[in-house]
Amino acid sequence: MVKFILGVVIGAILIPLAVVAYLVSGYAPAATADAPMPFESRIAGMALQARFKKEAPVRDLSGMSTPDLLAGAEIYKKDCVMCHGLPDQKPEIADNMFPPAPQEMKPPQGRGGQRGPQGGPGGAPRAPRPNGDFWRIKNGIRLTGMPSFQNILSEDQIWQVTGLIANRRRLPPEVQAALKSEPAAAAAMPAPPAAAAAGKPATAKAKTAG
Amino acid sequence: MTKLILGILVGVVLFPLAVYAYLTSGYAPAAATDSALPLETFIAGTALFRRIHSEAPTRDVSGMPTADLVTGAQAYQKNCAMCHGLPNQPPPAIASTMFPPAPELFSQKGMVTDDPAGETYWKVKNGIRLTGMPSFKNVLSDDQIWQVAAVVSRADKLPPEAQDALKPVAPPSAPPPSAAPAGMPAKPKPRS
Repeated sequence: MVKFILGVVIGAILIPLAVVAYLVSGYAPAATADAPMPFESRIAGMALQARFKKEAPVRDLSGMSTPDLLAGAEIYKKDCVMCHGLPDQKPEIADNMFPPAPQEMKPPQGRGGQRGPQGGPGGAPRAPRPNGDFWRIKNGIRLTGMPSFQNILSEDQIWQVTGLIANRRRLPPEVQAALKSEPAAAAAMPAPPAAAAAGKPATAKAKTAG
Repeated sequence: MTKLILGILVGVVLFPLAVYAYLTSGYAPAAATDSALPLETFIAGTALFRRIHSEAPTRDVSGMPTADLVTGAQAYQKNCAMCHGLPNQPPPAIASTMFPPAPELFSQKGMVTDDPAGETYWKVKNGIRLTGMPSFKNVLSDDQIWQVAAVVSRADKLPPEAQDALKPVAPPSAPPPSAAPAGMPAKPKPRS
C-alpha cells in the first residue's frame, strides 16, 4: 500500500515536470504562427464556458432599440474595431494573433462555432442564454488580447455592444450604415491613416513635425 | 514493484483528471482581471525567453540613421501605440486591462532598452502566443520590423526627429458628429 501511494505521488508529479521541461526547452510554441498544442483551445474553452455558466447574466437582447444599437456601434468602432473588424473590413492583425481575434461583425464564420449567445443559424431568436459576450467584454479573457472594459465602459454601454453583436445578422439600416468602414472610423486609431500606410511613410514627417 | 508501477499509472491519470475538474469547475481563472496562477508568469516567461534566445538574430542598431528611426517611429505610431503607448502620454486604457498586460514601452517601468534589439525584432515578427501581441511578419517588411525594434530599444535616447514622430497625432476620440447619439459620452468613468 505504501508503495502504491508512493507511485501515485510520483505519477502525479511526473506530468507537470514533463510539461515544465518541455516549456523551458526552447521548443515550446511561443510564436503566434506556431500550431496550437493538442487540446489547447478545447481546454481553454472549457474554463471559459464554465465561468459563463456561473457568472454571465441572462438577458434577451433581441428587442434592443435602434438608438441603443447605434450607441453600441459607435463604441464598437472606437474600442473594438481595431481587432474585431467591420462587416466589410478585417484588420491586418486579427489573424496574426494567437488565438486570433474573431471578426464579430462577420457572420457566421470566425466566431468559434457554437458560441453565439443568441440567434440560431438562420437568425431565428433562441431562448436567452447566459450572455457570454457581456462577460467577455466586462472581464476580458486571459491569455488572449481581449482586455477587460469594466473600468472603461459602463454596464449599459457593455450591454449596447453585446446587443450589437447579438443582433449582427438583423441590424437596422441606420446601424449598418454606421458600421461601414470609412475614414472616420480609422481616425479613432492614433495614426495618420493614409500617410502612414505601410511602406510609404515619408510624407507623414512634415505633418507630424508641424 | 508491481504496486509502485500501478501507483505511478494511477497518478499519471489522476493529474489530468484533477486539472479537468478544476477547469470545468468555474473557478479557474478566465477573466483578464483574474490574478495569475502560481508560477504561471515564471514558466511562460522562461518558455518565451528560451525560445527567443535560440532564434533571435543579433544586430547592432545603435548606429541606425535618424531617417530609419523616424520611419520606425511612424510604424510604431500606427501599429503599436494603441497598446504600448507613446512618450509622455497616459497609457492606453486597454493596456493594463489585458492579461498579461501590454508593457508601456516608453515608460520607465515598461521600457525594453536593456533587451537586445534582436529580441524585440523576434517579438514583433513572430508575435507572442497567449498574449495580445500579433505577429507582424505579414504586415511590416523586415526592414520596418528592425526600424521599430531599434526605436523601442532606444526609447530613452531617440533623436528629436523620431521623438516628433511619436507625438500624438489625432485627438483621442473624434466620432463622426452625425452618427453620435446625444447623451452618450464615450467614456463615462475616468480610468482608475
